[in-house]
Amino acid sequence: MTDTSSVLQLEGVTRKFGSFTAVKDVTETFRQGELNCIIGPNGAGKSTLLNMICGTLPLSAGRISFEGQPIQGLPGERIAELGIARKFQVPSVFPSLTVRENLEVAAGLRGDDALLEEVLDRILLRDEANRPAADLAHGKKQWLEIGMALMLRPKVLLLDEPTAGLSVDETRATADFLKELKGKVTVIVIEHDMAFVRALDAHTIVLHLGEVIAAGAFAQIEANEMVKDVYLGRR
Amino acid sequence: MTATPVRKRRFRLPTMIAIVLVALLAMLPLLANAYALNNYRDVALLGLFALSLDVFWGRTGILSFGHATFFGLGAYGMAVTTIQFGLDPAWASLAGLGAGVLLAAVVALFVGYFILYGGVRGAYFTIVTLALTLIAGHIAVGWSSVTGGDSGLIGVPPFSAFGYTFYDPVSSFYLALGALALCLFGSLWVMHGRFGLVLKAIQDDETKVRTLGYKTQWILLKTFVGSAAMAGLAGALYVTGTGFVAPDLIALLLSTEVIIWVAVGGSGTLVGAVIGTAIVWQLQVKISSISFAAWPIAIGVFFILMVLVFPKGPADWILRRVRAWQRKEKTS
Repeated sequence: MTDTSSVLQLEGVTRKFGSFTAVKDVTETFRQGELNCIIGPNGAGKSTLLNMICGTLPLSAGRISFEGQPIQGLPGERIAELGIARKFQVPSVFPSLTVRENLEVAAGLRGDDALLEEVLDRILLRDEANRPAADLAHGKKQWLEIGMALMLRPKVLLLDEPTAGLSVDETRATADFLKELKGKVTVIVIEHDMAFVRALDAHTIVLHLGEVIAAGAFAQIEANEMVKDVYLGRR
Repeated sequence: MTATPVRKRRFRLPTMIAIVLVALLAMLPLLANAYALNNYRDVALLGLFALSLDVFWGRTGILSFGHATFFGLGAYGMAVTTIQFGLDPAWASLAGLGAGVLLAAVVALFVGYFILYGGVRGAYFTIVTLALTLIAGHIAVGWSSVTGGDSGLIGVPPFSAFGYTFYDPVSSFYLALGALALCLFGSLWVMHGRFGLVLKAIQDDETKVRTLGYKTQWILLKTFVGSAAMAGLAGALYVTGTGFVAPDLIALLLSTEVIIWVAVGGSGTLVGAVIGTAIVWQLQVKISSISFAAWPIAIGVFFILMVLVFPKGPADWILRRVRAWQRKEKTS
């Protein structure tokens, strides 16, 4: 019943905090190598949804399956081991280590020199490879941290507002950078910077008060009247 | 599972300095008389002790104020085993060495397990280990039937193994230098590899390292125990040179002094700890010969400079300058 290209499936995922329903009956399928974006105003339940996927928050109802296996209720480390990596909003890299050393540490016991070189190119930091991470600009720290997540060869990469605190140029470069990952890893980005989401041109899911009100290609979403009302119109 | 690829270990500046240092020290018996050589032997072993502290403090950023405990346990382990048990002199030294090192390692394992897994870090770690030294010192003084109490134990035989006794100044100096070189190059090798890298990362952000799947408490505990065993080795060999053990080898003052030695050489550089020990020892001899009161003043001035000018020690400050210069050379 799962189609072969689907990696992550949410079925009726719900989260209640007391009488308040933060996420309500979300059913979505994320495909292999697909770039996804979850948008929605503050309090729409975006982070709650991400927390449930990576196991830091239990579900109130519904199920999440990864490669056909249910993963809800598993501890966070176990989910990470299965191949779901998460990058938090604040970049956390090791400032006194060089870029290359950061990636080496991130590789853990599965150290892999070939992968390291590949990631170094992908995150566009080859020229800075031997510089301490402390010297990097904020945007490049974000890339480095994404690179650290990639060192674990994740199948799904969850990114919580990767453009927070970035300049316009850095935001655009980050969008280009994430598009490069298409086809290689399933990426789910939470974002509310519209310029970024437009540049990303990904499969977009709109959350509003915990419910999915629209999903599809960004062009479609942008044309959707209801979305305009609740979200885009409020810019 | 594929095998873990070995991280490329390049020849770095501290390793080069270490090679030059050991080579220079190896030539000392050609120049020095017997009396001076005995002093150099003691300094080499105190340098080994400083190195053991730097392996932990310099690489994890956690300051142990109890390292004299492990040096002292090594010293007492050796002294008590060789004097009190009436063992066959042919292998009593080896038994004493084993007892001293093991004692230090076991105490570090026990204490370290509870404080490191209990999440004790930073200043709290320093305070707990400070208490450890006080307790160990009290035991050394109080348990006089075994330790000789305040007066200690006299008559520790020179180190002897496999039918050879390191009795004369030259051979006992080389024994000390050999132990120092082995531990120095061993530590440099480990710390320039993946393990050292992970330790450096833990110093930056332990939580993040844990989220990457490392068991950071276990990594810190291994480092702590290794460091303690090295201190125990230094202590055990030290008493075979001097021939006696006394409570000042396990006292708070020694814990403080070793911190100064490491700080002078620059914590984290490993080879700096050895150099720092030599410098402070030389200074202490020179300054104390001018005036007995001048030494505490000099130490005080040094501490003030350390806080204001070079928080990680003068050697680290110089190394940074050299690296900056190298970078400039490369880019220009």
